[in-house]
Amino acid sequence: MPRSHRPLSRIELLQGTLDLIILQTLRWGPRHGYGIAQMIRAGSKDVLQVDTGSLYPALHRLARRGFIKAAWETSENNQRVRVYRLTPAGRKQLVAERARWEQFFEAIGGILNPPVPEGEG
Amino acid sequence: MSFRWWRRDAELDEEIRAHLAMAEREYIAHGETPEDAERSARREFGNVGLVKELTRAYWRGAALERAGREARQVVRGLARRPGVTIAVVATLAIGIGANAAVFTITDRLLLRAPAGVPDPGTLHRVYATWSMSGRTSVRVHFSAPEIRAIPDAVAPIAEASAVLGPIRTAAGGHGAPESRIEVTYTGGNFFSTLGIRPTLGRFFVNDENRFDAPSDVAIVSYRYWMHELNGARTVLDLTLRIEGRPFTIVGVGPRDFGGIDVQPTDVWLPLASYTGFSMPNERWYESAGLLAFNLVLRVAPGADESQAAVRAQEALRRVARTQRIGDSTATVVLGSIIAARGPQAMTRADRISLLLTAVTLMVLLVACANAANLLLAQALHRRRELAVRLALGISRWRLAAHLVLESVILGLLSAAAASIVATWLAGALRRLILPDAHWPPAFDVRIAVFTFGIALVIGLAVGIAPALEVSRTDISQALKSGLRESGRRSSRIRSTLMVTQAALSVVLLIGAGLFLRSLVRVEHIDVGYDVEHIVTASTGFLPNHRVSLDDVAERVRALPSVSAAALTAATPLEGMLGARLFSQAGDSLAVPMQQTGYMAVGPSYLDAIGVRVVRGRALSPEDRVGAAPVTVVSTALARALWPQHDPLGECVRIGGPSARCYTVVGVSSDVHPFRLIDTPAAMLYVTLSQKPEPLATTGLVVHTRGDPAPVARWLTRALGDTTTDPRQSAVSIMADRLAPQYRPWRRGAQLLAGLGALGLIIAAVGLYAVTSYLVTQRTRELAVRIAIGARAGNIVRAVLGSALRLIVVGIAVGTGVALVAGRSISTLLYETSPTDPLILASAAVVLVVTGCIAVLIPVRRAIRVDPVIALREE
Repeated sequence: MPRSHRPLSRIELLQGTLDLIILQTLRWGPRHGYGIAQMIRAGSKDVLQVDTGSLYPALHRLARRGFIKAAWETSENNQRVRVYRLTPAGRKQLVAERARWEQFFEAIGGILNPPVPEGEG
Repeated sequence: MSFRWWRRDAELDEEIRAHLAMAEREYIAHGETPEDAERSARREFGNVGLVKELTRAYWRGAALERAGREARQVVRGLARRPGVTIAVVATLAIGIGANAAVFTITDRLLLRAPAGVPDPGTLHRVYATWSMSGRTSVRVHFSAPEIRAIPDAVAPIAEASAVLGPIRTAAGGHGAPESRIEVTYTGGNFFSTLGIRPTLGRFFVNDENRFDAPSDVAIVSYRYWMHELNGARTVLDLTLRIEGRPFTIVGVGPRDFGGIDVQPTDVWLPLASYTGFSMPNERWYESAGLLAFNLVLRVAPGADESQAAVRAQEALRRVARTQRIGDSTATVVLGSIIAARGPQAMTRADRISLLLTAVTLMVLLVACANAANLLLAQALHRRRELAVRLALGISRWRLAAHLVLESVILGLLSAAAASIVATWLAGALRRLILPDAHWPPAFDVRIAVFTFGIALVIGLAVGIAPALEVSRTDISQALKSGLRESGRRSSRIRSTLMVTQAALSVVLLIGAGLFLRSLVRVEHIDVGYDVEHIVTASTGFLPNHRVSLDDVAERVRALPSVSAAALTAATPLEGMLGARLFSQAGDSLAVPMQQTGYMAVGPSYLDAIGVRVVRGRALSPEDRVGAAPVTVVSTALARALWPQHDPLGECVRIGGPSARCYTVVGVSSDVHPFRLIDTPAAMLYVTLSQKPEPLATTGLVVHTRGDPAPVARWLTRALGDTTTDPRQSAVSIMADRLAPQYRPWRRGAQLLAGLGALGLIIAAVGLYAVTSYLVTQRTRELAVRIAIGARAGNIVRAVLGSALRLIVVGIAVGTGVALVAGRSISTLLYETSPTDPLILASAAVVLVVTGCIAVLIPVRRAIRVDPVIALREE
């Protein structure tokens, strides 16, 4: 990816958020590590840059916990790649994590943008 | 590394390679050259090693794998410094191994209750103590009336039983050849007192222990049953011949049970069947004066121990009053069943094991001090390396953990080596301390736990100082100054450790010197006999003895290689006939502090044993039945009874105030009656024809002109002795009989000399290591000195001086310790003062010389410091 595309400021991902994002990314089909990184970056309009030092540990962690499964496949360039796909447990985890995240997001949003009380202003 | 781990690693590599390849392709697609693309992809990916490291942490078994990797790294590091590693491992192995070996002994003697006995806490050995002129004496042996009275008195709140033995004796029968076994004679309720049940058959019933009509029944130990009787269920009712008498096996003891002594028992017989005491005038089981039996006592559940002791004490005092012998104020003490823990003065074996514990602990301390010193010196030596690692971002905690792991691995290596040392040394020690005992294998689980436990603790202990040192390291300073030390603290630690080593070495050397000197003294003991030329024959135990001893004596005298032969009632070194002496007026003649007794012998006996007549005449064939009874007395007796005047013509009654009076016609040179180390006995010789009491003549003493062995063989044939075991043979060569008595002294001296040498080697290695480290550290200072014109002599003085100062302080401390500790080992020495100045001085000289040799190489290196090179390096 050319340098010029780099945003001025990047956001470091919170621990735990990355797991959710990875699971979400895999929701639409199996993908390899590089693909996941590209997809996160593209999906976040280049705001979220995933550090490989976080991505691979996270993938291996999720695989160990049984949320995703790894398998070797051959890519269109005849490259042997390791492809991750969601397991049923991972699907459940994704739903749960999403619900939690939305709750969290709502709560933060509530604090940052409090609804204007009636009768004021 | 496990195969699975290796595969996962390869897969991760491939995964990352694929990532990089894909990124590269994308950069190329954006128009970069392949070289630039590769570089960009790598830059974007970041530190491949780090990513791998972070990812691996989430694999299953990651912690274990990391520890394994760390351990491999440590092992590689240790292998890179073989000198230090070998020195530390060897030092610790010697120290730990020696301790484990000694632990096997103390464990057996002092710590372990007899195997197979339930609830040893309420089982006691009975002791009697009494005070006489301010000194408290203890006895664990009781007389026959006492062993009958005490069990009756303590019932029912306690059960008590008499025990005699274990006694080594000959056994055979059931088709098996004769062998030596350990026999313990017990009261009828011995087994119920202990609370054990037989594996097979039954134990004694009280009826079998009637003194006037003992039963010939035997109980064999489980071990004897398995080993000698093949564990056959049909052993009951088999006959066992013990000392020529038949005993019927009625029971087999429980598994693991071998009696209550360190020496395991093979066969138990009823106490009443014992015939070993030769008491001329009374039956042994009625004698109040024969203190021969032990008592074991079990307090009944819930009963008061002190109450039992009081009852036993009342019984003891009652016996003393009615028998008019012993002390009617004696106190009964219920001691531990473990013999070595009783109130009695310690036995030689206990003392030796305690001494060895102290000595080996000292060796271990020297070893630890040395290992710590080596590791400390090395840690400082590695400061620059460690500082580089710290600078590269390794955490201090991890570095310290690495060093601790290093010392733990050193500890484990040492433990493995120590196991070998321990097994070997334990064997040697056992032969020294309890040569006859059956020992379990030297290296059992307890010893393994002991060895590895100690090794780990020591590994950690000696590793902590270097680890602390590192955790305090100031990176920039360490990188700048390299080897130079910042503080004086660690050099003080090193000096203290060095002084400790020197001190302990001196103590060990002094110990070795004392034992060597004792050995020399022992080897020069004159037992009084012409040891090299005497053959004795004792036919009392020969089965089916039909040959006339008179005949054999007559024939042996005719041999050209024999210069004298005499019949005797008891053979020399097997004892004499103990007897009290009375004056002509019938007054008791006390011979204080000496064994007193007589020998009834053929007229040429004194010639045959090589004893000289120093005054008067020897016994002669004229001193026969009917002639006036005469005696030749030993110098010791003469000196004790008639210190002021000529003993010739004096008259002594043997055995009683109205016995026949023997006129002293001669005085002979002294002999040791029983053992090598003995005081000369107060001894009388009378002819067999004039013996004061009926005695069987069973002994023959022959004096040979040359080698006694052919005569011994001739005698064996002549007596028709067919036993093959030399220990059971009727015929023996006196020198062979005495030889085993030198052995403990020789082994003791060897052992202490060995341990002393080990301590010295360890200290020398330590001194060498520390001095050579100091030289390295002071290279710059030495270079400056040489540059400004110091001569070799000054440099030698500087380096040697600091080493010698440590040694001298160590010698002072060590000598002090030896002087204090010496008193406690004086009973183990023979005619050697523990403060012998010659030995103290020799130990100091040996250490100084060794120290100088040890620092020779570092000193040479110091002289050869090239100022130009040394200063440029800085």
